[in-house]
Formats: sequence, structure tokens, C-alpha cells
Amino acid sequence: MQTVRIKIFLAIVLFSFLAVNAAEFTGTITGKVMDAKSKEPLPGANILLIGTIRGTSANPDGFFVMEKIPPGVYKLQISMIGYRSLIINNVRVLSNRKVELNVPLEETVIEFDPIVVLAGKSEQRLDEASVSMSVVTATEIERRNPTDLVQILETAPGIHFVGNQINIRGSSGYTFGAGNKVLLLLDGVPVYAADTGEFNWDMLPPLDIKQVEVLKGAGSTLWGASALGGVVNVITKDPSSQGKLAFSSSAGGYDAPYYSEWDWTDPNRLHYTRLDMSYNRKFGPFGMRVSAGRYFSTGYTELGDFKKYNLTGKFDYRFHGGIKWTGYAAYSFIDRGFFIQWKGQNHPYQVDPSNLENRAETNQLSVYTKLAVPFSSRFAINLRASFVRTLMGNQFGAGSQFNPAIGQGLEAQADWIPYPGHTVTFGTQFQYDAGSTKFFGDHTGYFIGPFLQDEWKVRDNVRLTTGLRYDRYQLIDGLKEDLFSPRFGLNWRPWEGTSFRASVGSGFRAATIVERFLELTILNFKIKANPGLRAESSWAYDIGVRQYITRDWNIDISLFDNEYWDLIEAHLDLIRGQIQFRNITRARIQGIEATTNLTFPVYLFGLNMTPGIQASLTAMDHKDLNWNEPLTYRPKTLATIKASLGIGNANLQADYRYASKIEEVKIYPINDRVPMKFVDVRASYQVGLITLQLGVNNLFQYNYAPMESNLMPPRTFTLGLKGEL
Amino acid sequence: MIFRKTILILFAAWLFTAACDFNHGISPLPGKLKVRVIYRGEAPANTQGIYLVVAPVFPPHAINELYHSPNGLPFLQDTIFTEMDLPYGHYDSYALWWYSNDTKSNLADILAMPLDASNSLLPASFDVTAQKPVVEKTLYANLNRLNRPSAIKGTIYFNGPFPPNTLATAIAAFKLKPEEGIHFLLYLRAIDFSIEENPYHYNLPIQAGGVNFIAVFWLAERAALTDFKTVGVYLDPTNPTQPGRLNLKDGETVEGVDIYADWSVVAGK
Repeated sequence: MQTVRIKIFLAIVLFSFLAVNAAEFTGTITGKVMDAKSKEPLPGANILLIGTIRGTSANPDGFFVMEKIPPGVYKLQISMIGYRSLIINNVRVLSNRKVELNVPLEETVIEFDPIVVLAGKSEQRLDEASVSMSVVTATEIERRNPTDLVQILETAPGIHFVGNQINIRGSSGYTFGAGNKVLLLLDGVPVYAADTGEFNWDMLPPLDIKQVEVLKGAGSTLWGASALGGVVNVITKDPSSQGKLAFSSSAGGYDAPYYSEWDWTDPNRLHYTRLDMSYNRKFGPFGMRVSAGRYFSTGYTELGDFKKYNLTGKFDYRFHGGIKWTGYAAYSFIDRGFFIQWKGQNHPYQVDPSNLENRAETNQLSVYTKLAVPFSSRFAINLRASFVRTLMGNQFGAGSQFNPAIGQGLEAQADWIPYPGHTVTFGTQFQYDAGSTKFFGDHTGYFIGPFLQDEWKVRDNVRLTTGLRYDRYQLIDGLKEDLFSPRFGLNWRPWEGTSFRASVGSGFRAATIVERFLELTILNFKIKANPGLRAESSWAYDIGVRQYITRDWNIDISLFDNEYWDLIEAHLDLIRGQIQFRNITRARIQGIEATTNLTFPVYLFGLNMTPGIQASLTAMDHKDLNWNEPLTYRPKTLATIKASLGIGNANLQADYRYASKIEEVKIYPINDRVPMKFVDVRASYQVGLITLQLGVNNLFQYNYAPMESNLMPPRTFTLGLKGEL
Repeated sequence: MIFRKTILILFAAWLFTAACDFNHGISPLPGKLKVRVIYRGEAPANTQGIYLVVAPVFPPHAINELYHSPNGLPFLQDTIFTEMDLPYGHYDSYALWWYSNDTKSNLADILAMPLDASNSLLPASFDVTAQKPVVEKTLYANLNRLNRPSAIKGTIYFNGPFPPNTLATAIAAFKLKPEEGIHFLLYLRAIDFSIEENPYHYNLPIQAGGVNFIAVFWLAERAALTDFKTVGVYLDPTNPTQPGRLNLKDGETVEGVDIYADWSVVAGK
């Protein structure tokens, strides 16, 4: 046994030695990234050496350097927020030589194929992924001037929110605040509450967000537990080389209800304000970005008021040899009224007087640290540790005793190119979740999950992905489960401008502590524990094609079939007034999703204009196969149209969001239900580094309640001012 | 260029059309049921609230198919007036429902459900229409029936595991043997839905008086509230071919009312 251990140790040392020494016979790529028209440098532009695990970013003067590149012929991809990404083919690197490049990037209102990390746990172009994804880019985030993450995501194709619950192609329905069938990642790190599995959509200010990626369908092979129906990865901005003070402020007023019968207060007093400040700078190898924000609202309903505070910090340090350390901390505090349901359809903005004392507090700290160690251009290790502390307290008229839920995670990941054409990603993830309150006692559970994936570049235009993950879930002093999550994917680009993709992936989600153990009586209902809940699992089948009609117009179509087993749903026993989470459903969601992005300059009315249109349609058939009826809280059709028109420094935008009527609900099936039809419009004007924005959300005063007895906001007038100093 | 302009103009035209053709989604309910409630007796100390409920379809499958007043009605006066907003339509029945503080409210807690004057097997119905958007009714609620100082105790023995499609299993005592769906509500004196184990020892609080039918009932998932299946009956110890009968005095507890339940009655249902 001792001999075996010594051999393994020597093999690792020898392997590391070879990997490091391989770097001695290398070349360098340098260059400058600039705006194609103005020739101004583009600091922060991302440079990716395709087929390797190497990447860097441009400095304040637009220059970049990539050292220790083994000799060979490479493809270089350069991308930047607000610019069309560029691929430079046939970059020939020779030993001890330097390749110099000048890279002009063209400005665009729509980023067609941004760089994503969610598809393969390493950077790649969207059109090279084998899975269906949506990306909300920084350009779109800035254009929409959102007040929270929900507003960032709600116009993305295939996404629909029911309350605070995100549905990706109908994945989640509504789970009453316990359990989430979608995994939320912050820079690739899970950030769900350890006891409820819920997300805090206010955990960080929109000002900090660089990009949001959405993986549609199961993704447990690489991302582990909870990636049952999709994954959302929020990527935060990195510290930039220039010292920058950025601010974003917005204020808004809620209009009076459309129907005068619904008036309940002086509408002039209903408003919100949000202010965020951020400072980032680099000091040599050390970079920092700190942000603070506050978001106050009276709400548009009784008990709709809230006060939210954010404090975030991101720090990095670049050591010699490309080693990079990153640390991130996000703290948020929320004090809000707790609107459970309306008083009645003729008083939708009011609650029953007996509920007026209901309030809730959320206090969350998310911390992660990462260390990226590139041993060579063919082998790198990424280590990360994370900590999420969530303290949620709901106060139904009287004080409640909640204790913080603690989630701790560790992950070691290696990216290895054993020989050209193969990128192997392997590692192990460990997650430890603990929660305790008087309502469910003290409970802890952990996952340990080794994973392995190989992306094989069969030919220059064909990529084949295979992966497998094994997870052991162990509830301390309780049940244990063994879960396997395989994955297969194919991306084929037969000719320029066309890419086909196909994937089969699996996902799982173990029941949360709350779903298993919560015992509570609320509003005449008793929530009953069910410690024997099994993990729910899914298989996602997806085929798609992405076609460029012209350079500025693409169409993406995908067909999907998501199969679910042991779906955990709240079972309402309305005879005894009990709710219990049970494995009750074998379900299927099949459908088609089509998106198109189009931009073109046009000369109209004597003006140069840049219109852009992004449209999506998702048509689904979802079914509870046990009862042969639609799944609850899921529309069958989703559509979005986002139009923008740039005229010089001015920009006009209109968004239309549609969701068909939800056919099945659980609590009040006799309540009126209608489709969702929202129109938001905005106009912005940029003067130097300052942008002023005026907007109206829900322009036509549409009254929609995706969750029974909870009306969405009425027409809201917004004013935003943001900029950099 | 013409193509691009066309797209732009078409999009603007669509946006304008959509704007003109816009409804406003959920709207206020146009109808109203106004009810005068006349109470008799006093509500028990564990009263959480008394609610007005209206059923568009009777029998409902579950209580969430009922329109439910958002807050409890006052019950400390002899007579109160309340109203409920409703959409236009036909309503099969209306009633009051009592909720206790200990969340065990059930079918025995329906306080007042008027019957159709022309057919006593049907509840009284009403219509809310554009021509008659406000309907006025009177309900008589006997709060004394909520006081249950007597009790029946016994053990239920099942001949196997509970069927997987079980919604609820109950022990119920009736004034008369129920023959029709609505009898399950009209003749009901007490019911306990908490049976979840075999054998099950029950303690059924009840008002003093005659009980002529005690049985174990089973309700399948998604069955209507009156679609009970009888799986066991308390039999007369002296004549096991007949249902057992009891006459409880005020405050009396009768023990040993054991029942043997047979799942084969509901096999495959």
C-alpha cells in the first residue's frame, strides 16, 4: 500500500515538473485592441486562445500579452462588451518569438455570440456550445437599467417568473419558497440558501453584473445538485486597470390602479429609489472592486414596502506565472413587508387587516475565494472555497426564531489538454449544508461529487462532449442517495454561419432541509414534514441549429424534451388543511424555442439609425404524466420582442413580454387567470460618460397575477441616471 | 435598404396595433352576494373564524374550489351582514364554514347550507348576472352544533396497507345512514380525517344525541368531497348484520366502538 502511494506521489510530481518545463520552449502573442472606427484603445477586452485554457485581458492602453505559448498555429478570439467578437485564424507561434497583432473591433447593438463559461465550465463561444443557452450581455443590462436580477432575466428567451421563482422552459412551476429546480451560480459558485434552496435575487447590485448566462435543461454533470431544470450563472465585473467610480441611480413612481375601484391609497406616495456606487482599480498585480447600494420602495401594495442594502467586494491578485487569486464577498440585508395574498379581487393591492403585521427579513453573506493555477497552456488547476450564510426570518404578527443556514463548498477542478483536440475537465465538488430553526430542528447534509468531461474536437468543425458525474448525498443521521449524471453533446458547424447542436444531459436535486423537515402552521394550513423525500431527477434532450442569414441577422431554433422523475411538489391536502412536499409527479416538458437577433443601420427621415430587434418564441407542452394534465404554474407559450433604435447618442427601446394563461394552479383554481402582456418603453441619452434614461414599465396598465392573488406592478414611471467618473 | 425600412415600419405598425388592441387583464369582479347571517347559540372558545363560502359546482373536489370570504365574519352578535364579490355565473351552493384554532376544521364544520326548496337532495343555488348583479340571501347558523362535549372511542383495524391513491381516510358518525351524496354532509355529526396508521385508535368528539351509523370512509385523490367509499362499518355487537347505534348523553364517552375495515371494497378505484 505504501509503495502504491509513493508511486502516485512521484507520478504527480513528475507530471507537474513536465508540465512546468514544457513552458520553456514557448513563444509570445502581443497586440493592441482598438475601436475599429475611432482607433481608441479598448481596455478590458477579453482575449482567448481557442483550443487552450489560456486567456487574458487588455490593459488600459488596449495592449495584451500572452506568454509561454507552445509553438503551433492557433485561433485567437477577441471580445468586448458592446463590440462584435472577432476570431483571428492562423496565428503562428514560434519558439522564442513574439507575434504582434492589431485588433480592431466593430461596435454593435447586439452581441451575437458572446463568450460563455456555463456550457463547458471553461470559456467558449456561444455558437460552439452543444447545449441551448441564453445570454444577457452587459449591453442589454445597461440598456434596460434594471433594479434587480429578476428584471435582468425576465426578458430572456424561455424564462418566466412566478413570484420570485425562475422557470427556465417551464422547469420549476412554483414551489412555495422551498426548493428550486434551477441552480443559481455567482461566478460559477452555488449561492442558494442552505435550508430552503431559494435564491436571494437582491444579493448583488445590477451595477456589478457583467453578464448572465442561462443554461436550458439539466446540467448536473458539471454543476452538480439542483441543476435539474437549468442553471443561471451571474458573472460579476472584474476590477479594471483604470481607477473608476461608477454610479447608477434610479427612481420611479407607481401609477394609480387602472380601475378606480382598486384605489387604496394616494398613488403619489408610491415610489422607489435605488442608488449604487462602485469603485474599482488595480494597483499593480492587485485589483479591487467595491460596491455599495441601497434600494428603498414603498411598494405598490400594502406590505409591499422594503429596504434593501448591498455591500460587495471583489479582489484579485495576479502572481507570477499566470496564477490568479480571486476573492469575492456580497452582503445584503432586506427588511420588507410580507404580502402573501390579496384581500380579494376587488381589493388586489390590500391585504386582510389581520395580516398587516407580517414582515420578513433576509440577511445574506456570500463569500468565495478562487485560485487559478496554470501549469502550462495545456494543464491548469482551479480551486475554490465558498461560504453562504443566510438568515431569513418571517414574522407572522409575532417574533420568530430563525437561525442562520450555512452552506459551505469546496471544489477542485483541473483542465487538461492531454493531446491536441481533447480538453478534459475533471474534479470533485464538496458541499455541506446546514440549517436549523424551531420549525424543523437542526439538520445537516453534504454532497461529494467527482466529475469528468472530455470535449473532443473531432475535426475543426465538430466537437463531441461526453461527461459523467457521481454524487453521494448524505443527510447526517438520515437517508443517503447515490446519483449518476451522464452527459453527451455534439456541436457541428458544417459551413460558415451555421452550427448544429445536440445534447443529452441529466440533472438531479436532493430535497432541501425545509422540504423534508419543516413543521409549521400558517393561515389555517399545517405544513407537514416528509423526511423520506427522494431526490428528483431529469433527463434533457435538446437539438438545435443556429443560422446566420446575414452577418447581422441570426436565427436559432431548438427542440427540447425534458423528462422528470420523482418531481417534488407541494401536495395540498385540502381536506385536512395540510401541505406536504412529496415525490408525486412523473412529468414531461416538450417544446420548441426560436430566437432571432437582427440589427442593421438604416437611413430614415434624414437620420442615421441603428435598429436592433431580438425576438423569441417558446412553445411548450408540459404534462403531469400521472394525471395526464398540464403541470401547475407554467404557461405553454412565452414570447418576447425587444426592439431598440439608436440615433446618435439617443436610444429608444420597447420590450414586449407575453406568456399564455397558466392553466393549472394549486391554491385558488377558481381565481381569474389571464395571459401576461407587458410592454415596457425607454428612452436614453448619453452625454459623455453620463447616461440619462426615462422609462415606463407596464405601459398599458396590464393586470397580471402569475401566482394567485398576487398582482404584478401597475404602470411604473422610471428615471435613471448612471455614469462613470 | 427597402427591406430594412419595411421591417422597421412593419414593427412599428405591429406595436401600434398591439397598443390599440390592448385589454387590461384581471379586472374587478362585477357581482355581489349579500348575506344576512342569523346566529343561534355561542361559538366555542377555540373558534378561529367563521367564513362565507360559495361553490360554483357542487360537490366541489376540494375546498379551494370555493369562493371564500377573505376574512372571518363577526360572530359575537345575533345578526350580521356580509357580502362577497363574485363573477357573473351560476353557483350551486353557499354556506358558512367554521374554522377552529387547532386547524382540524372539516366537513362537520359546515354551519349552514340551505337546500333547494323543490328538491331537498340538492343545495340551494343562485345566479349572478348582468341584469341582477347583486343577490341577497339569509343564512341561519346554529353555533351549538360546534360544541361536542361527548365522545366515541375505539380502534379501527385495516386488512392491509392504505391504497397509494389515498387522499384521506376518515371515521364519521351520522344521524342517519347516508344514501345520497349530499347526505354525507346533511346527516354528518362528527368526522375525523386524521387516520394514517393501522390499527388506528380514534377519539371522536360529538354532540349528545343519537348516532345511527358509524363508518370508516376512504376518499381517493381528486375525488369529490362527497364521493366517500365506505370501507368499514361499526356493527351492532348483538346483531352483526346491522349497523351499531348509539345514544350519547351530554358529556358521555362511549368506548370500544371498534371497526374492521376492508380495502377490497375500493380495490382499483
